[in-house]
Amino acid sequence: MPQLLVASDQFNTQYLCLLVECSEPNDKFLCVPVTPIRLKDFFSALVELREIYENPESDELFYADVVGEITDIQLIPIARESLSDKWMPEPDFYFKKENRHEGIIESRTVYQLSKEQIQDLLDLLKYKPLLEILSKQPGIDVKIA
Amino acid sequence: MTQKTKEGEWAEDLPHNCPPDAAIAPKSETFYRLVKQFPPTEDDFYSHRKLYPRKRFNTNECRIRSLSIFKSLDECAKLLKLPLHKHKKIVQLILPTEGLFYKRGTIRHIIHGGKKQLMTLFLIVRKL
Repeated sequence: MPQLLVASDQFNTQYLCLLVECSEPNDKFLCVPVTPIRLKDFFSALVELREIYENPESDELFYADVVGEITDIQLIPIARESLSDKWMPEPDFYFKKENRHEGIIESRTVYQLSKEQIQDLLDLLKYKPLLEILSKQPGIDVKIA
Repeated sequence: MTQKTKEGEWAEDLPHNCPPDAAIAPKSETFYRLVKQFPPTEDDFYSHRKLYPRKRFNTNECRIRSLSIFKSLDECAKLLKLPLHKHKKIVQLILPTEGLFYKRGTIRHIIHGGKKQLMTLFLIVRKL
């Protein structure tokens, strides 16, 4: 089972994602955006894994809930203060990428949901029953997501 | 792969063409594996498929029904630094000749024929 994967979003930003929980049916990954230089340093065993998550270049952290095959991933932002140490790698984990079978896999596109988008989705779910009623009224055109 | 293996000989049901042709029989070599407790219990040697019967994985079914073992103690110990494995222990094992294994990167994948035989040979290896 892959412990690490590299994903990229629609802007070609790359994310290093670490498997932190495994259950049925979903896996949880902790993802951090990384520049190509930092990723290269990680693959060359020049920077340790914990450092990448402790000091992210853009001060952003995400988690991803993956069900089934790793294809499209949605990234949910998380606050660093709320990050449990059990999700963090121990110090001194260095990785040297020698070939493509070494345990890193590359995923296809990931999608980021901002906090605002998540709130919009929650709001939409909250009002969905009302929207359903409205959509049945003649003369009212409501599209339900 | 040795052709003497017959259906039903393995600890778990295997898909067609598994073990792969490249799989070889061990020769009493020493390997290392991560387990949840020591002494290990039977479920420490369940495949991912047995642990998660309905889960969809990102790899082939033969690999999902295999167990990961390491020839190098250092490579095995390195995994203890990752969140999913940090509370595990390393055991040393000598593979019985009934199993078959194949190599992928630094990891060997064993498909074994009998857990009880396998489990009598364990030694705990202290975390480095």
